[in-house]
Amino acid sequence: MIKSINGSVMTLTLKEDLIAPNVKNFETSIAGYMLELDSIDMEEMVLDLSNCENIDSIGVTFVVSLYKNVIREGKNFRVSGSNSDIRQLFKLMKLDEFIDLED
Amino acid sequence: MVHHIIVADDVKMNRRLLIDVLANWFSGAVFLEATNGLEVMEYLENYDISLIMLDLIMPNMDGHEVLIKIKADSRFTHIPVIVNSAMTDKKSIRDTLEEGAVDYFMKPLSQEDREIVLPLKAKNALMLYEQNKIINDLNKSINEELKNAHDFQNIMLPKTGSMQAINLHIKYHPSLGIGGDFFDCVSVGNKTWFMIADVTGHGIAAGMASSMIKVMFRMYVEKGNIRPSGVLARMNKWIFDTFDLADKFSFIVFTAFIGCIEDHTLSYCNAGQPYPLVYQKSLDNVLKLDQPGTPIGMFDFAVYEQFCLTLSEGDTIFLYTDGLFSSGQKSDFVNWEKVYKFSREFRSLIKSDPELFLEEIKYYFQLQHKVNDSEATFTDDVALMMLKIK
Repeated sequence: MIKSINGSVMTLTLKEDLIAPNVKNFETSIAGYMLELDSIDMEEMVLDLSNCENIDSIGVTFVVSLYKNVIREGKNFRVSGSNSDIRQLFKLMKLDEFIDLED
Repeated sequence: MVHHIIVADDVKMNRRLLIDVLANWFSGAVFLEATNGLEVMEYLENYDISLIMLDLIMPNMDGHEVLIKIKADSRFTHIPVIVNSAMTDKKSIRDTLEEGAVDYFMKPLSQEDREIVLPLKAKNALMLYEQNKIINDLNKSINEELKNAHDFQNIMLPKTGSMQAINLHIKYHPSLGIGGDFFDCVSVGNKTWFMIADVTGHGIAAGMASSMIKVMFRMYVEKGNIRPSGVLARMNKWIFDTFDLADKFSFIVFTAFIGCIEDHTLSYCNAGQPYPLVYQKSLDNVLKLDQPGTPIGMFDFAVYEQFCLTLSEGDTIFLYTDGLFSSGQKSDFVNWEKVYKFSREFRSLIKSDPELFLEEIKYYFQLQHKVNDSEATFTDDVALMMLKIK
């Protein structure tokens, strides 16, 4: 997971698939980024999934947790680079109604 | 712990020499002398052996054959074997070590081998044996627990058979002995309630959660005055009321589909399950119930929408969990379209023999998984359920 900051937007780019074996590592990284998001003048977090081809139920749960944690801090959250399969899965779970999904 | 050590050599003098060397270091050990491979195998059947000192050239059954048999037998494979042979060629040494021996000594043993190297390597091999034994015993105990849990989980599942308004057909394949998929079907008055659910992840924790869902499902539907959307909403509320999920990255989430059949009307509500299918006999058509829904346990404010469908005799509802079509490989996690396509193609089988249809679709997707990985079978729990309307 690579973090980049552009103005008031923090972007987290996943380099691996969003599946159970990788999620534990993502959670560890996220803990630090959440503190940073809180402490500096950030307005939005973007989760970039353009390198992510595979996602499982644990991965979806991770995205939702991240969304909830960011929203709780009063910041915006959106997902970018999602492929059509990921968007289909989010649609099945009606997550597209809560989370902004971009191609 | 008393160690039983086999010393196998067809020459008595060699056996005595090894026993003398080892007895100085392992005073409490019991030494069992074997003159050929058959005697080694006999000792293995009758004693709890900790270490085998093995010669290669012996009558009846040679050391190579003994080694291969031991390593192929799950009861003995953890027993360390040290080879002591007069064969000095590299191929023999390499083959023996590749076949699973922990060490190789050449005859005659040097003074250094006798006094230091062999006893120390035997000591290390015995320590390895003790560690392996602990792991094996632990594995055995865990497997026993998993088997008990698996049996318990099976008891909780409905069985294929006839109910008041439907004939029920099921197939269940937990990936780890115990799984997080759950399904149930129950008659309450003139209503037939059914549910299929899939807890995030799989294994023991998911199995525990699925037991909880079963209790909640029965509790809510047996109360009477409730609808499928109400059951899902209450389950969702119960999770947020019961567990402290604030700031957690891991929490209890499951997808679910609940239906209720009353007077040939199906009321249903989806919470993120892959779209169930309905075979409509009069139209000879397979209909996809493609209403989405938020999984249970994700948002405390989620709203669950209910839908209705009129059913006729012979119509068949087909529910499945994502383990059927998703192998964990890339791009197959939305392959419910393949389930739909297969069901359309084999709808005559749904009509004539639902049980066989379930066998066929399970087999078809098992083969699909093998395309990606020759060793693969289902990597996730798989639950399949069919309800044929009477």
